[in-house]
Amino acid sequence: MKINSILKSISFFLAVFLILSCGDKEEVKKYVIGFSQCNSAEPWREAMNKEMMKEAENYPEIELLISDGNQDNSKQVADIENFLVREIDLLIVSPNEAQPLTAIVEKVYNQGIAVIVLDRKILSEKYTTFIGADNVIIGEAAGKYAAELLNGKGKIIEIWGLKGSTPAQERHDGFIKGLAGNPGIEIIYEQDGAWLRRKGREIMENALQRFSNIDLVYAHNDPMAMGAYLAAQNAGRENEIYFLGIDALPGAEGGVQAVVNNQLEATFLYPTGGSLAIKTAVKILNNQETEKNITLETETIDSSNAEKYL
Amino acid sequence: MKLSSALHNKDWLKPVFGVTIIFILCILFSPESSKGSIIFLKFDNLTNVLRQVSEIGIISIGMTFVIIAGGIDLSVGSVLALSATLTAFGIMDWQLGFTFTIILALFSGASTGFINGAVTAFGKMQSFIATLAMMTAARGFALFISDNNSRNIGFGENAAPDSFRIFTDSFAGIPLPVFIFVAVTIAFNILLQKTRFGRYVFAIGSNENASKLAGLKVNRIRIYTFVVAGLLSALAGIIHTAQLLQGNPNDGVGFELDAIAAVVIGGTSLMGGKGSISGTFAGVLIIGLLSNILGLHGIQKDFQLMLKGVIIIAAVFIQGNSMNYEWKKLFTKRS
Repeated sequence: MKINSILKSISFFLAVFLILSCGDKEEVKKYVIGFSQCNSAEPWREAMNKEMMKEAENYPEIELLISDGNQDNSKQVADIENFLVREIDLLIVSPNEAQPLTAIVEKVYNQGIAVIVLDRKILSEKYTTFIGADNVIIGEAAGKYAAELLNGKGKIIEIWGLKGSTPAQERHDGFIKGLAGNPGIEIIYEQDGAWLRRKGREIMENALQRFSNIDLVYAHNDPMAMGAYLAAQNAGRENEIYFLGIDALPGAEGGVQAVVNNQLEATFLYPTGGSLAIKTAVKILNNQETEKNITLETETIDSSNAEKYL
Repeated sequence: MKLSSALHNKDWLKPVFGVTIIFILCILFSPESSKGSIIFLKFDNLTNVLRQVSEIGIISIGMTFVIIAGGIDLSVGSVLALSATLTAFGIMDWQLGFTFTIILALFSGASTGFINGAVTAFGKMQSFIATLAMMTAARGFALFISDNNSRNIGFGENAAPDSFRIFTDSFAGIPLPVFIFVAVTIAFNILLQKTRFGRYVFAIGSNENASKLAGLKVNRIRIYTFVVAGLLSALAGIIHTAQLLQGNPNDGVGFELDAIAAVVIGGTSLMGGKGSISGTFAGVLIIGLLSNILGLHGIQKDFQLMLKGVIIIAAVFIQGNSMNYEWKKLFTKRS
């Protein structure tokens, strides 16, 4: 009986590992690129993964490995250590937080492996290329767009991303910069929506109770702008207010679709950099020169061009 | 037949046997490097595995004591976060220096453990509830101390003393946390197997009332088990801070479940009264090796999570005598 159960257990694990090894039979690729993503659970980061996989298909000589750090610094360090023993040729990393990831990224770089840092920086210059968007510029684009929309006069509600986080602060600063020179425009109410659709809705519900006259809502991301739209719709006031969001994710739940549906007036592209990261990686692997810092351009998406970005 | 009877008589052999099987399978199914060598067996990879499991491993050792005594401790992840936060603030903001910071962090673990135990023992409360309360309270306290922010550790002027770097150093190519994990395993194995205290822990776990009637100070022993768990969680917290150079009050979420899984895979019964430190050590390694080989293959999270669920059930099922017994009973009744 005992021997029997041991045999059973062995055959069980064998079966499991056989399943595992199935996907591994591809021919040996020339270059292995490891991408350490900090958290695939966010829609924006999932879009980044997809963009990267799609771009990687254009280059048959590279194999792309993607790991998910589950928003956990220790897990992401372990992921990168796994990449090192897999002998990757290039590391792409989007750090969960700067400080805890700096040491391991430096270690990779010091071993002569090229490193592309994506979206969030590390506390060191030991990387090959940084690719990221500039939130101040995006906020500024939103501010200018709002000023034009309101003809220099109106009342604005601002729904913040998580207060204390850098992107939220920068999207705010940029927006104020974009509004400059329009004394007729004032922000009458601002609250922390923590990037969440649910919070956007709650904040807007409160605002609708308090203010009888609202001209525009600026939310630091699309889900919060959509939450605010839903609140206004419930109150029957969605047609008297403009809604602006940021990110412009594709897909049925994304901000671009909301613009096509005439729910959001406009959204501002915060590019993931996924496809550019792969292109840059291929350049580096072929020993071509790249810039140390690459800033991604934003794009204003409204009813005039939204269809194109779906 | 000899193997089977050996496995039958020595409970701790089974998990060791399990680790061996997993280890061999990891070798067989390891991806190969471009030069044809087995990546899994690289020295760097094996020390990575040990370093990565050392935090959960140390926590699991403490958890084993609590579970053998018939309890459960859900607060370990939060206690780790509290200790990590205190370590970072102690060394950076409060300038306590190396020794006092570590004493402070360990003290926080011991006191939360003491509260857990006292509430369970004297409050006549189930440990599930008592430690659930501590799980939220300790996390709240960590967030309060840190003002909801993580604290980075830097070196140099007015910063962490260089002695703190010892936790990130390697000796003979093996990082210090691994040595700490192994030392803790050996020390607490002796405590559980060779001392009177250890035997009492088993006694109150298998029959609390009988132990009481036999004159054991049940409450005191139970409190000690929680103090052990708290103390070791705090030790893991110090290591955690040193590894990431950051004390983060939001870290350690879900660690209690990983630790319980490791303990159970190691053959310790959630009913209490039965279990071993060596089994837990093996359980920790099984989980560590599995996530390593899955990570090396680049298996995505969805499949990893499903597989881990299956592995936990399978591992417990394969080595559980009691469970075999239940099955047999079920089938004989029907026929």
